[in-house]
Amino acid sequence: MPAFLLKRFATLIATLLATSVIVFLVLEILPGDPALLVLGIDATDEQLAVFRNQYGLDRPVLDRYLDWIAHLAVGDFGISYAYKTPVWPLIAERLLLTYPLAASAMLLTVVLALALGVYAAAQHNKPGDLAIMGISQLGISLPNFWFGLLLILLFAVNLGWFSAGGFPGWGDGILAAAKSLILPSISLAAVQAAILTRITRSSVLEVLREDFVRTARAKGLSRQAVLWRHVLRNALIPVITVIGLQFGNLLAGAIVVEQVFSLPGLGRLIFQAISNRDIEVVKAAVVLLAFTVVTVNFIVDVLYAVIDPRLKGRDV
Amino acid sequence: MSDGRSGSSFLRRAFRHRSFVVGATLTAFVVAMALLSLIWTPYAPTAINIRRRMAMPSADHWLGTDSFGRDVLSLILAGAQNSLTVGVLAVGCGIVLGSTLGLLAAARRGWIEELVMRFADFTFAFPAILSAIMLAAIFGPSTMNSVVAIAIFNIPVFARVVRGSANAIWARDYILAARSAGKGSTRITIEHVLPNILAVIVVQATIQFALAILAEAALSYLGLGTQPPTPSWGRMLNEAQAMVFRAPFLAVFPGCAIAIAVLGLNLLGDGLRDLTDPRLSRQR
Amino acid sequence: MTPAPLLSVNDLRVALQTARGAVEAVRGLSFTLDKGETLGIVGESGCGKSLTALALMGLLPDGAVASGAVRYGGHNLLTLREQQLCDLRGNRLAMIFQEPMTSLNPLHCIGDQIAEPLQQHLKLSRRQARDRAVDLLDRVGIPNPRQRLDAYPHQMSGGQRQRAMIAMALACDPDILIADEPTTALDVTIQGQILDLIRRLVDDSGMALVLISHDLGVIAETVDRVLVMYAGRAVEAGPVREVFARLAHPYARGLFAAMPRIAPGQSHPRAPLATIAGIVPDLHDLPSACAFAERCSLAEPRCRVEFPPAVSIGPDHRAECWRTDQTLGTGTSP
Repeated sequence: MPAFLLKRFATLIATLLATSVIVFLVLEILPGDPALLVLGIDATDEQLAVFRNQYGLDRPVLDRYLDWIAHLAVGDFGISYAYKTPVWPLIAERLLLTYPLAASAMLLTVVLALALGVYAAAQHNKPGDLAIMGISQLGISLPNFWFGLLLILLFAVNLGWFSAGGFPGWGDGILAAAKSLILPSISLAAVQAAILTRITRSSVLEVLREDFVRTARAKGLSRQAVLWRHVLRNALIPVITVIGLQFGNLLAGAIVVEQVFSLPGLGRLIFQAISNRDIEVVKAAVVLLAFTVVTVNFIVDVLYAVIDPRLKGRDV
Repeated sequence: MSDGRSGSSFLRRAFRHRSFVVGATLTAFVVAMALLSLIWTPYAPTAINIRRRMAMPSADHWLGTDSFGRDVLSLILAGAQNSLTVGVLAVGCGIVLGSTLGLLAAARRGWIEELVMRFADFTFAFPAILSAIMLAAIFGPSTMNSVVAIAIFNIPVFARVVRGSANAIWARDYILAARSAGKGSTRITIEHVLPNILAVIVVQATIQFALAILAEAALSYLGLGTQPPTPSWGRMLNEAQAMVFRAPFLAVFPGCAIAIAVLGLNLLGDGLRDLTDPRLSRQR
Repeated sequence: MTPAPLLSVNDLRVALQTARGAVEAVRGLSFTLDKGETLGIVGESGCGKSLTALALMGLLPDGAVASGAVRYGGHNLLTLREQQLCDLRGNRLAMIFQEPMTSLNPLHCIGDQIAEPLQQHLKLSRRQARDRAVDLLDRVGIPNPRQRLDAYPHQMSGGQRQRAMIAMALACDPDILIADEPTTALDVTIQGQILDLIRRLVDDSGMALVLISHDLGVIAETVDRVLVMYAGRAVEAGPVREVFARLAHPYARGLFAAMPRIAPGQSHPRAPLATIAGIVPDLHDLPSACAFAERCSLAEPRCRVEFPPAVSIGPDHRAECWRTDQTLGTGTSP
């Protein structure tokens, strides 16, 4: 493995560990005694002691942390205070909705943004460009959950093409489930696509000014051919960084949009857990989301090396 | 840029800059809404009137009434207050703490810089909503939650931007001169670095303010932020959603208010960036 | 009459759109280029020489408009459709640029970049084109060409990149090679090698060369004919030997005097270098008469009022100046 990837992998591990420490400190230590939180102030000392013993809360902090991440590493996310069942199956079931939602929104974002951004750059300062820039300026300013509400107003309330929300589950046929994710994906993708469109456009414009573009034109390649063969790949480098950073926003946005469309995803689980004071579930969900964001960014950096030979060849 | 005469020429250029003018106008409009709500609203924003629930917009209630019979216009005016307060507090914390870290990193370099930058890299794993979820899980939902969560998200942004610009200033000749004159790095930072990066901080603050308003609305919408009865745009949308089939117009106005505030700040930020960037200023 | 020239440029003008209005950066340039002939265009930066080169290729930047005529193969290149221009570029007309560091695509290997014009114009397969690229790299003096095919630009030195650029330009055996300051960005030791290479390739292949440079020395040792540009006009033009023997335009004389020389036979090898006083004029307010008058030590009132005529100095040697009597010391007015 090239030095660049090794170094990046080390950073990934360090970031994951730091993330787990923060989540553990904030959610396990800061709130005080979970036993008191869950059982309430009326609980007897005996009840409290039993609870603490049951969940291992009477052990030293470092032991509890090491125990927690050791279990995390093998996919054991602990026991829910509220449901008294292992946390992982609860979360896994919800992830089947949240991950596909975030992924389809990501796909939509990338496809829309690349198409519109490249088109706008190719039409620099012409009506097509100005229209796309105007719409994207508006898009950036929309709250995604409000856009979702407007979509419900139009497509569910007025046109009746979609239901206003809910999720039939993957068991009843993939098509119906996918259909219920269309509006949520669009409302999630719209804002991010607007941001990415602008970044794609300025990146393409910047590359179009490079000397090697003139070289390619001097070889007799048409503007179109230069755009596809020489400009696009160079322009993608900054775009990919932003895509990686946007994934965090999309995942966070998914939690919001799930509320808009009443989708039983991770967001719903988290809000129930918050009102139940079910810290174990919140802890597991938060750490999982943070890990996902960090890992996606790692993958993006690996993609970098695939696209840019200057990174691949660098052996320090 | 020299400061003496450029003041008036800055204003002259600013008034010709389309994004700046539109952005400043929209932002001023939102600020005016918030200020107005301090002294006057058509009705008391929290006054419930069960007999006038979900009234369509009319001469009495310009934007209609909500499911509790409250006047929507009054709620939106008062909601501006909430959005701007959270934005100012959260971005203010971000500026103060983030810029301090960024200036420190640029002045000290070495492991301190490395530490600050790693910290900044690391916080992207926690979007504001994730921080807010953790805070709400511990302390219960509140406006202060929104402020803290959004501030946490803002600190690394300012640390990064300030460090980048400050490093560029530190590399200049007159800093070298100041150093060889025996000035300490704290004094150089205050006398030379900070004044030169103020424009960058202001531009970034404008854009972060827009993001803060979006985040605040999302948190209130989710019920993690501002709690009833305090009027907030996000909360209004949450309540409107339940009525979306019976009173769809309720979902429209608070969203417009958010979009206007965010659009205004974004345009203002774009305009300020163009106007203060010495590379671009001559082209405009 | 001699046969029609390979390329003939007639009253070429290039207008630029700037923040302060439109300006003309090339103002009525005319010259011809025969098959296999080498022409040097020399002048300070900003005199319009690079824009001239780009105009010949039809690659002017956005906002620049060319007028006049550039005749090649029975067409006026300035009015040719984009598709036809694409067929000529990299095929019959090839160009190499000043910055070998940035003129190659950093994400494509050298072999693919050299193969590209071959695939485009000769419709070779990628494999065939890469085989040809090996020969080309060999011709431009890159060792181990087959291995270097897969090298990326960042793995090569500046001189090697410029060689690769030349290989790319030569790919389709062009009629005309336009070289815009091909050695300016390179180390001095490399500069000579690249110039030698260009000269040798031009001799071998019989293509015509337009060499653009700010360096009179480079021009003197590389080309047959020279054209001295100032503020968008050819102020002096002629065969290299003839021009250097009888420099007629004060600006050309100034350039010559400002050239460092340690060649044997010079009377004062250590004399301080001369400079041309003043700065290149602002294209926004060019004088209506001689553009060089403000900087010219020989200028007389007439120079600032009336446009100077093209004075014939010798066979095929002309200069645009009122004061050639002074510069050439003949004492007679034209």
